[in-house]
Amino acid sequence: MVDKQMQPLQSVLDALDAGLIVLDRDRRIVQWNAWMASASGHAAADVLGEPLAKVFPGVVAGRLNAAIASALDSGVSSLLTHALHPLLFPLKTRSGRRLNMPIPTPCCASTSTPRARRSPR
Amino acid sequence: MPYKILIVDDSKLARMAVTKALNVLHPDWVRLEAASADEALAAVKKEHPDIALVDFNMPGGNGLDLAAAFRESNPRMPVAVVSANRQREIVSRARTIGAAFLNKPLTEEDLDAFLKAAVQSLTKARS
Amino acid sequence: MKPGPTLVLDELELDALTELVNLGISQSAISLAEMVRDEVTLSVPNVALVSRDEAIRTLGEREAKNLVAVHQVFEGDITGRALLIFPEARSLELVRAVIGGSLSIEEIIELEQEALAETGNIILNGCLATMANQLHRSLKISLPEILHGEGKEFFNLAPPPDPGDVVMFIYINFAVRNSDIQGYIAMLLDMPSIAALKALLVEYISRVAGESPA
Repeated sequence: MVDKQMQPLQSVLDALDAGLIVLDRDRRIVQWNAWMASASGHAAADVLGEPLAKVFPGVVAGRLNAAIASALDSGVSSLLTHALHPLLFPLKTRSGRRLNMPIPTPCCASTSTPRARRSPR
Repeated sequence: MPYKILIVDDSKLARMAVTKALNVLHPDWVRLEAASADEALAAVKKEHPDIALVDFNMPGGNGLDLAAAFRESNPRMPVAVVSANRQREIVSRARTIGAAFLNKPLTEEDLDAFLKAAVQSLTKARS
Repeated sequence: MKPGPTLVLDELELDALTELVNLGISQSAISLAEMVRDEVTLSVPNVALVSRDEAIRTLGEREAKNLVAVHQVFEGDITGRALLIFPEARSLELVRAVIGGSLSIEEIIELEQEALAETGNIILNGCLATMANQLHRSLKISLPEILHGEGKEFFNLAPPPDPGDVVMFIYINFAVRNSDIQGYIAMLLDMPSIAALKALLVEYISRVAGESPA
């Protein structure tokens, strides 16, 4: 589903030792890198175009919901930490252990479609 | 019937904003302004307003205490606490003392709704 | 005598700025309260526009040397830095109050940096985003960074600030779950940003109060 022009960028994103999810205005997943696929157990092909809330039911609530909303509406970047939100996402390391990491929700607003980019590391 | 309304807020701009809304809703009403709790208490004693709007966030004592004092000394005077801080605990404390809660920035619609209810309770009390 | 920064805004404009800060801080309190699931009191006893030297001096006089700050930068029609500052000695207490529950001192220390960063992020974002919304402008706001040090370090972060830079110095009281902490929010603005802010405040006053200020 990634077009030819995007492929070099996609290999870079897939090489990151960090999870990268990009959402469009409707909070649908438009980018899901290899790290995310491995840690979540969901392949990119299965989640692209799906609402984030459907892929992680019950997770997109409270602070995460507010963080995504402010990134999309106001250009605001938020940080969600393990300290205050333990076990926010059901993610596993490659050896199968539960993962707990801070989640920055930086905003990247372009002139046409503001997006929220969230990268659990 | 023109009523007398007391506006209590340490911010001149906030008082101007309420006055602007009143110019649209009730241009004939008498407006009294107070910038502190002390000024407000003095104004109530001297001028006997019919309705009071009290800002929650005031230096030297919060507006809720002032509103509670009004509810006790003037139970017939409808009071609204005005605040941007619409946390559940604050809203319920306002309700407990019998005051309305109005969100800041105050919209014409919210003010209108409160004033209509206030006038209703005042006419009922006088009849 | 060179006019100080306080003369950059007139009385009504400073009043408007204070109201905006109050609106912003109220939003921060609401967001924080939602997260900690308990009442949060954030009040603003005072807002002042001062020079950097004065801000450094005030912090030096009122607080011990060891301070901790959550630092974010913002860009847009108004560009600058925002710092949430409080004494390092109170930071563990703040973290314990925000996390809640009963954790050992070792556990709290482990979580301290993250919890401070996120708490500061919520407070600064609530303030900045609300103020921008009320002024009908958008700001791009960075992720938080924790800094440890003294006031003069916080107000001299690279690139070197211009001598005319102004600090919007906000005294705040922060109470959550039996903990009561005094801190500060400082927003550092350069001269063009202060001029832009002034113009936006004039517009805001006219919109809200329905008349041009005298």
